[in-house]
Amino acid sequence: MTKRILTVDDSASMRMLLKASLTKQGFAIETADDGEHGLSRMCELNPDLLITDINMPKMDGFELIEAVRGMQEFRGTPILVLSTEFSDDKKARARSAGATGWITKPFDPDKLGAAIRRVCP
Amino acid sequence: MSDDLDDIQAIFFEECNEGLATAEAGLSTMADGDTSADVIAGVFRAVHSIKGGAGAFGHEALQSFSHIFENLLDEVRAGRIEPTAHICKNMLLAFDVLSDHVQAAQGFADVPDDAAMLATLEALLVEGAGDAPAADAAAEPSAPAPEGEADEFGFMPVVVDIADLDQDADPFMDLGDSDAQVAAAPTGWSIRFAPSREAMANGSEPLLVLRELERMGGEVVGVETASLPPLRELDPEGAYLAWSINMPASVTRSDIEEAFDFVAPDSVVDIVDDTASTAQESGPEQQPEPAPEADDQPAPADAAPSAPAAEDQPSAPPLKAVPSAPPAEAKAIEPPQNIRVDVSKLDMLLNLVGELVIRNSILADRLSPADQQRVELPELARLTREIQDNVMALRAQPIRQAFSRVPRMLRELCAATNKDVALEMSGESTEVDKSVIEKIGEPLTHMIRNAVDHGIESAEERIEKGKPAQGNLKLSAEQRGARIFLRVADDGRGIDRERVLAKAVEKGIVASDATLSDEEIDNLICAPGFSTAETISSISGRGVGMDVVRSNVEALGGRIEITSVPGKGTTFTMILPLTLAILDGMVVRLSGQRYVLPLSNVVETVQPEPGQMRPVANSSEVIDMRGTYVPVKRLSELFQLPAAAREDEDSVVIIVETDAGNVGLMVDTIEDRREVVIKSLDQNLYPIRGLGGATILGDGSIALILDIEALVASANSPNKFVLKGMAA
Repeated sequence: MTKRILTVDDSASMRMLLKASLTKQGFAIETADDGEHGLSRMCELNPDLLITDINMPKMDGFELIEAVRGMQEFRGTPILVLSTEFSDDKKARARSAGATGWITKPFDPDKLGAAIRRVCP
Repeated sequence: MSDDLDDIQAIFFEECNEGLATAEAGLSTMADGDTSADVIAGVFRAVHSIKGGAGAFGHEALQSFSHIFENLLDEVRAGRIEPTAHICKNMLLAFDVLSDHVQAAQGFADVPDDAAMLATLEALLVEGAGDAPAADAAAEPSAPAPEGEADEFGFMPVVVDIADLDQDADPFMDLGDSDAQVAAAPTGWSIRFAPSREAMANGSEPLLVLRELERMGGEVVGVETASLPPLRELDPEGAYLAWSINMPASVTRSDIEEAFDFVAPDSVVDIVDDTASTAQESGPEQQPEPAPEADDQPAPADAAPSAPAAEDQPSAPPLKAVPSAPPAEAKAIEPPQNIRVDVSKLDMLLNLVGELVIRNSILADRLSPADQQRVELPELARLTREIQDNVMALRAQPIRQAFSRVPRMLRELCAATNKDVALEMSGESTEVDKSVIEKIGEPLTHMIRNAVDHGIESAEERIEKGKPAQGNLKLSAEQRGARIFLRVADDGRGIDRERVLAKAVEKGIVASDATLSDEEIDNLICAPGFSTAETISSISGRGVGMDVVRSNVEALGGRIEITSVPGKGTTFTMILPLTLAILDGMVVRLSGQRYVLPLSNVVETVQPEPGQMRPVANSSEVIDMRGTYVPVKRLSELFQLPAAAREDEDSVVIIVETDAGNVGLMVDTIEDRREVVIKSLDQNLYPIRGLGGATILGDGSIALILDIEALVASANSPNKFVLKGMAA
């Protein structure tokens, strides 16, 4: 079954890039442009995987992850962070918020695809 | 796909330019002393996004430069490096290099030589690291290479027995290159995997790891069930088992580690190289993140729940008061949708609307007065007008685009002239037609160069005069009616009128016995070939200066005002039309031909009484306007048309406002007032000074549009300017 993925990123080019490269790999991609929007899209779509950026206006990635994890129906949904940040304290924060994994931008589409399959086969 | 990518990349570049603007504004704010966290974070985020996209689109030079720049910003953001004036100044310089990189990535320029700037940034990073223990600084790779971001996947489990784990090798990134490492693979692996009890929490699933290991040829050889609690104490979401897995030797360590990329933190992963048999006890130093628990020891019991504690609910963070927005509401916050449109399509649309306006007035002309009153026609006119306004609005752009280059230019000018000048900008969001923005760049540059080079004094001179050492340059834009006022004001020495006049006389621009008003003298700096710089500098150019500005501004249908106070400063004001496509005009008739005068120039119109017109010396005339004498030009003379055999009293004098003061233009009659669509002549004709273009009138006939400034100036100027036309 096609995996449905919600990607949240404030950069339009990044959203389009993610959508283009992951759609090609057989994933169904939905997008949102900030944390708030991402949260409401989560509820709407109930996707198989959430991929989120960290630095975003309105609600950042940490807050989004916490909010999503706080909802009963998303307790088991894998969440990957896709960010250009890579500091350990950021990663620790993301993890304690409830992220499943962290991928540093820029991403190689094939490798991102493999990572996705690793958390949601 | 490549077309898609190009499109996405174009959007990325737009984001880059927005990011650069944000970064520059933030850095300037920081340089001005406001180093609050928000400001720093804004700059960081902007540079950070540029880096992210640059990597995605393979702009390596841009990526590696922004990476180092970001490192410095991150140190500043984290408070490990103090944002001193020195740091801020260097970051602004780094910003300039970053802008160049963005230009280069777009193919607009060559990749800049950033070696010196990189060295400076690295030095600042090292200096900063010297100030503090800065463990983080050390932990973060300073290598700019994309692969240098070692810990691609942050959530490494507790890895035990890592003799040869090279942190530089990004476990995930190696996925595609794993073949290269097979050669070095040992002969076999024993793995012990004891997921932490929270393993199922953050969307992780230990079973997936086991499956992946099996897919790689691994075999589960044992299960530890000792930790399983009695059923009634069992947390259904807890993980209680531990597994032993054997892997074939053909698999590399990094492949195995990859499989564990996303296991929950604090899980125990014990990878033992069977052949090397150098199994070591825990290697906590390899643990990339500070473990919240100290159970690094791979004691078999460490995953055992000694406390069954169901309240130690690990998998579900308490429900937070999160507004779980209902889907219906969610749809309401869709972001605004944009489409990118080729400018030539907008131009085409504008052109068509122009035609529509013309046909509309032709239609109105052809109808009988009774028909003209019918409701359809005014309605059609109103709709046409509305379409026109909307199309114009499509082309309107904030003038910020033209201003955005100024801060950098000023920095470079200051560096070149060794002056210190602060910049104040206002009205950046004033919207102007795209064509105007495109064309004011050069005049603006000239005016600012002039202000810094000629206007603002050196710091010593300023102090001597009791002024602050730092000069001030104000750049502002505002809309008044259908005009844009663009001001460049400096607080420099002002125009030295004595010297300007002397120079003008010396250059033969004015006669030595001429008496000129202050205003006229100020305007002399716009005369061709006039340059007052004591030494011709590389900055203000060689004698092409304000005259170029003037002709450019005139070509835009605008004019320049200069006000100067000796010792206090000079203000240049460019007064420009909002649009270059439509003109509110007065249709006049002269010798059987019709002409259009821009209504914005018209002050009033007079039908001369007998005796109101008076000849003065030099065969010119004036008109007595309530006691003030206004010079009058006969349009027929300016155009060298056959003199009309009519009395002055049958003619009309239109008083127009110009740079050189009010002037009367004598024409035969006034016919109409209407909006006309300007059609450029310069595709078909050489530029003719005094003519701004042409238009098609309601009856389908063609009328020339007069360029009042140029017309009057050419007739009026102390020296006859070279005939230069304006392009509409």
